[in-house]
Formats: sequence, C-alpha cells, structure tokens
Amino acid sequence: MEIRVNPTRMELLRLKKRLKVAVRGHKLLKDKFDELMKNFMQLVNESRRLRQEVESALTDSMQGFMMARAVMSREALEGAIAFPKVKAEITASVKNVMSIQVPAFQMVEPEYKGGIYPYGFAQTSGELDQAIRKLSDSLKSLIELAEVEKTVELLAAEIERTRRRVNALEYVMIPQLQEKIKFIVMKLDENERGNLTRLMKIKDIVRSAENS
Amino acid sequence: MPTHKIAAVGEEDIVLGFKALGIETFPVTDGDTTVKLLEQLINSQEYGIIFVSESMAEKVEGLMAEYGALPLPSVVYIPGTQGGQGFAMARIRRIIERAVGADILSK
Repeated sequence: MEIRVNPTRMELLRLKKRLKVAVRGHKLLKDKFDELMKNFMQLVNESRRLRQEVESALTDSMQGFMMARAVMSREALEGAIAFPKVKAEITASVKNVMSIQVPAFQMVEPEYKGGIYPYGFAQTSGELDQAIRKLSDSLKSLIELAEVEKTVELLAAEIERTRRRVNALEYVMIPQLQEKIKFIVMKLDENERGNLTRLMKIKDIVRSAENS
Repeated sequence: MPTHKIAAVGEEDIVLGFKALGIETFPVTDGDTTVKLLEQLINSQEYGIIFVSESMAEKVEGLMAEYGALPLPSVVYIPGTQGGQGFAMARIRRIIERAVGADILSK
C-alpha cells in the first residue's frame, strides 16, 4: 500500500500520539471483550440449562392438555379456563451489564386465593388440573429463560461490535500507524544522511579550493 | 417499575394452557398472521415477554432479527405440540456463532 504522509517532524509527533491512543484503546477494548466473553459463556450455559428444563416441562404439560382435550368436550374445556383467576404480570426493569441495557423480569406474585384453578372440579378432568399445575410451576423458569435469552442476544450483539473494533484496531489501524511512523523515520534519517554527505562534500570542495 | 403483560402466540392447543395462568393468548393458525400479530404486539410495548410457538419460528425469524436489538420485549420460543424441534437452540447457537465467530456449543 502506498503511504501518503508528509515526512515531517510535526506529522511524526502527531502519528506517534495517535498510535499511543490506538494501543491504549485496543487494550481497553480487548479487556472489555474478554470480560464480555466471560459473562457470555456463563449466560449461554445458563440459557441452555433453562431451555432444556423448560422444554421438557412444557412438552409434558402440553401432553396433559391433549389428554384433557381428549376426555373433555371442547366447550367444557374452553369454558373452564375462559376466565382465568390469576393475572400473570411481570415488572420489567433494566439492568446494566457492562454498559449494555438488558431486561430484568420480576414476576408479580399473583395471589393464589383458593388455588390457581379457575374452575370447579366437578366438570373437569384430573388431567387438566395436572397440566395447569405443571405449566404454572414452569412459568417461573420460563420467565427466567426469557430474561436470559434476551440477555444472551443483546450481549452477543455487543460482543460482535467489540470484536470488530478490536480487530480493526489490531489488524488495520495499529499496523498502518506503525508503517507510517516507520516511513517518516526512514525518510527523516535519509534526509539527515543526505544533508551530512552534502556538508562533507561541500567541505571537501571548500578545502580543495583553499589549498590550490 | 412498570408492569408488563405476558403474551402467548401459537396454535390454539398450545396457548390454551397459558390462558389458565392469566397470560394473554392469541391463537393463530398460519405464519403470515403470526408475523403481523407479533409485530403489533411488539410495537404496542405493553408486553414484556412474548411466547411464540416453535412451529411458527421459521416465519417470524426475520422479525426477530429486526427487533432483536431492543431490550423489550423478550420473544421466547416454546415447544409446540410435537415437543421441542430445536429451533430455539438453533437460534441461540446462531447468535453465538455470529458473536464469537465459532460454534462453541457443539463442543
């Protein structure tokens, strides 16, 4: 690549200052990246664990519902759960993980007055009760999963950005600056040598002129 | 702290159970309406978590990428009636791959 810089001392000083900043920035970003990765790995493992847990619980519960649907009439089933007793709500606050805004969900604990079942037991089957209980039990994990997965997603985006910056600095900015600095130093040295030989030459000429 | 609602989108069989827990359910049958509905739900900003049936995962993948950068809501895939099909794991895996540049989960 052609280097386009003025081989002057001013420019050299400027470039050296920039290189210093770049190196420092690189170090900082690298540290950030390492820390992000550490957090990220933890979260990934956590999300994997939760995901497996939730999936098996939900599949279980779904099968329960299928069973309930099989033994109950459609109208009865829908009627039974048409008006839920509880209202699932969460409070979402924003947590700060390494200057990334991630959500933190907190389940608003519903008041379970007289159980969660929004129906009498006379017309419904036991399978439905069980399915709802299972689902209700896994709701907490589900909410946790929602939080963790979102955090993983947001962290991943941040990691990608940081990685790009680190790489850009490491493989483009810093080498280019070093190259430019080297170029200027060489050019200045070359000028210096040129000057020196010129002086020597002139001195020779002057001396021979004096002698003759 | 503001409270948010939870929504569940998917086939009727799947979201039925969530209704009993007081989660707002939106039964859908095909992918296109799911996409429209999901976009509405996200834009309404009333929902903190949206559960989406995995069977619709393929259709809404584009939407997920679009809204992925927002802190809220969190869209979570739930397994459908056939059980988990691995879409959710695949999604996380893809996200990780993009971030790290390598598939670290398969190890």
